[in-house]
Amino acid sequence: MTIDSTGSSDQMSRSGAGGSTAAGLYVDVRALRGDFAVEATLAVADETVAIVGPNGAGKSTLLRCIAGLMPPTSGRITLHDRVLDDADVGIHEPPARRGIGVVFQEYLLFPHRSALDNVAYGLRAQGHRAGAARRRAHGLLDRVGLAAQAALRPAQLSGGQAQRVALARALAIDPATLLLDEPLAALDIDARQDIRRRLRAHLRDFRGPALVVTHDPVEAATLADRLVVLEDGRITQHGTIDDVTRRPRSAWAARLAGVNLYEGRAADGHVTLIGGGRITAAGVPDGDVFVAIPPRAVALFRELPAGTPRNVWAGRVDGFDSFGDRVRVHLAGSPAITAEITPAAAADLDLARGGAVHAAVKATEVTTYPR
Amino acid sequence: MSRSRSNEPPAPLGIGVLGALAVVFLTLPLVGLASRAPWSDIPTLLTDPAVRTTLRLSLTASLAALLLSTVLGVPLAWLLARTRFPGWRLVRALAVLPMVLPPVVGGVALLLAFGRRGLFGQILFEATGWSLPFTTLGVIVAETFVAMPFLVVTVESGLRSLDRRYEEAAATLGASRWTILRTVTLPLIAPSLAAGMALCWARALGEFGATISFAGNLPGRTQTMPLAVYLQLESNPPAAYLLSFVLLVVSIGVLVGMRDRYLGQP
Amino acid sequence: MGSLRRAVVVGALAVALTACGASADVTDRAGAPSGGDIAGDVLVFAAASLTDAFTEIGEIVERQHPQVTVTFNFAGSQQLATQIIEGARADVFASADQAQMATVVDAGAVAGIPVVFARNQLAIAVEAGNPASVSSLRDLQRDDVTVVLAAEQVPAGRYTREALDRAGVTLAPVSLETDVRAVLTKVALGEVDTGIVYTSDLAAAGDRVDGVAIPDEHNVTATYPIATLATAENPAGAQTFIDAVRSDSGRTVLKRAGFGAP
Repeated sequence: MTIDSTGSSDQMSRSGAGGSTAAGLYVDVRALRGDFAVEATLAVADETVAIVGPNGAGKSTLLRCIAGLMPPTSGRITLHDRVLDDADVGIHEPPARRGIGVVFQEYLLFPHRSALDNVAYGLRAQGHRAGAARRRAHGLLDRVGLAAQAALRPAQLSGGQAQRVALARALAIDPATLLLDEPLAALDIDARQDIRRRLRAHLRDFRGPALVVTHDPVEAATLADRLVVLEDGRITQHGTIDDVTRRPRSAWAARLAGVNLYEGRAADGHVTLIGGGRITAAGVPDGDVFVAIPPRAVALFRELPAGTPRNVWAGRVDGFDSFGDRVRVHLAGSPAITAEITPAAAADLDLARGGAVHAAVKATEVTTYPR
Repeated sequence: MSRSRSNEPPAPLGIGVLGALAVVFLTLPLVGLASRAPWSDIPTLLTDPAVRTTLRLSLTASLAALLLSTVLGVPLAWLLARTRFPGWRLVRALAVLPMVLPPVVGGVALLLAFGRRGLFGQILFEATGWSLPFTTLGVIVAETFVAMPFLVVTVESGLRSLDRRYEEAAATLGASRWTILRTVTLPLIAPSLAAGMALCWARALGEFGATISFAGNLPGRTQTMPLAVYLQLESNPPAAYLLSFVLLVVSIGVLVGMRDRYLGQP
Repeated sequence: MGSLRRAVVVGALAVALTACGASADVTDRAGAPSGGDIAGDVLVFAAASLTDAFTEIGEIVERQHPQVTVTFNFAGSQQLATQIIEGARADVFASADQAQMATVVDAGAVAGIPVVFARNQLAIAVEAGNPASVSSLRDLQRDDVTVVLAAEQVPAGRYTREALDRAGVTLAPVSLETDVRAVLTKVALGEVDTGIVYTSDLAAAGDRVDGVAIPDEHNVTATYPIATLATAENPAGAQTFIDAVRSDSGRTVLKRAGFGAP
């Protein structure tokens, strides 16, 4: 399945020209929340895509837009040949007629209804008879393993149970697509693992496009086939987990991948970094590139080292923290970099804040890819 | 017996003292009334047809006013909480105006609007020969005018503090706006609605000023308990104290009943 | 200071005990009579129907005795009597009926003997121009004429009842108002065609309402007694005020206000 999802509009129009009415969910919108604008183009086939990114990046706004809770200021949303939104011609299908199942952050189970009545709610709202709706709701509760809790009120359910009821409620309307907003954020650590496993199974079974909004990389990696990184209202990267962690294209993705990331311009095997500094890399083509350096590839020395590393520069210790059995040293310099060394090495170096050290990175440890 | 409340730290001394003072302040006048009331007369009073008629009229009119206030007041509260329209501020101020207007003035204002010579009342009177003042309906109108703002204000604030995402959740499940209002919004604001209705009804039941000036005082038609109490005060104060207690007991009974029914808790 | 505090307490009590919350005016009475001329505050509790006339007489007294300040508490006679019996402090009580004065006398709250200073009679109040063409009590029985009366619990209502009995007339009023001024208001606003009020009320109502006289053989005369109270802090001032009410100028004021001579 080829999926085009990108923030740049020329790539969007390519796919739009080809077949914007292809099966799946297709979103190309601009939405305003106060002064904050969210612009995104993405297509989701029968797969699970995670929208990841820092808090306040516009992830939930995008989800609300797709759910129909917030009309986009411009653009289109289509779902399996149905136009849900087309701002240009004034089409806005209200949420009640979209057939989109939403699992909300904090679940929003109706507090005055039992778990069963929560799940049956959508069916009743769509005009099913009470008996039939309750039978089907019971079946769904059974599927999420909560048949015994059918009569309980949301306040009597644990966080994990509430999450499962919320999922059952969303699935009950037989949705064409499923949206989940931070489905595990409200759970404590213990419950999270179990619920994540269950949720993954349900998402596998679900036939249709599914979108999961999360700020948790582990969650994204476990639940989704692909990631869309949303930062400051724009999509900065998309692709498989592997793509994103191997070749991060934003500060957030770099943190997710745990690498030092720079932008620069390459010429003759040397990259001049935008933020200052110069890095030599093996086999780098000329042009605008990203430079990724894993912290473990950074060696630190008191004295200027002699020998093989092609990249050596001076810096000052800006701070350090322990990271498992390693020590992460943040270095101010040109460029600034984070190194990961053993505690023994750190002791040898006699590191102190403000102390002068040299960073060395082998050219073969540097990954570069076009911007 | 240790109960869940005992987990809470004791109230700061100052708050305790002032709170106790408030209780004393509120109960002392009642104790004064009780100490002067001729309790032995209570069977006579309760079987007196005139008293029963007045009590029945009071209950009927105040409950009708409550119904009218709910039917009109909840939509108004919804409009005030959920929409902005030209003149919104003015409408909101007007909606609470009867709370600050001296009720007697409110009654006169009602006469000027719905009376035989009133702005609207005159048209009505000329068309039908019928006018609102001095009728039981007039009592209901006067009580509604004075009491509805209490319901509007309470329900409006309930709607404002409601987490609207519940309504959004219902919408994504396919519920129409009416269904959402009926199955989500109203149940979720039930505590506010019940509180608003209780306040509204209590205010209607105790209404005096607007009723006397708009609907007058005629036993069996427009004389409500407060009017009867007031007149008894002129001629037979002890009977008035006793009537006040009857009114008090009946209202407490109805309020407790409503609370149990609509909130499902003591 | 002690008396002030007491007055405040009494005032608060009076407010608490009366439904309508008519408040006793509380003032510092530091200026006790000194030497020959009288001085200080005179607090007068007077029936509501006396409002206009007594205010004017009070001004006359203050002009004649610059040291004197006259303060009024106007309310229904019954309420005033209750306030006095419950301990409200006042110098003078002027009642719109003998019965209320009698309860105050029985409670031992009056110093000396009450004297009658004015009389009032009943009249039919009709809308200005008398569009319903009412000329007698009997006309009030007509189907096309609506009537409001004062409730029998208040003096005006009792007198009305008496007058109707004497005339052999039975009425179906649309409302029994809690005070006679409310009767007048309803007629003045045009909500009803007629009402039965005091002649003094008609004088106060001006152009909005016309009066139709009730013949003497049916009419009832209300007598207004006035007295110095036993608790008076300024008995000399109280007597000065009572004298002024009964003086020629006082009578002129009362006559203009629609009251008859005693």
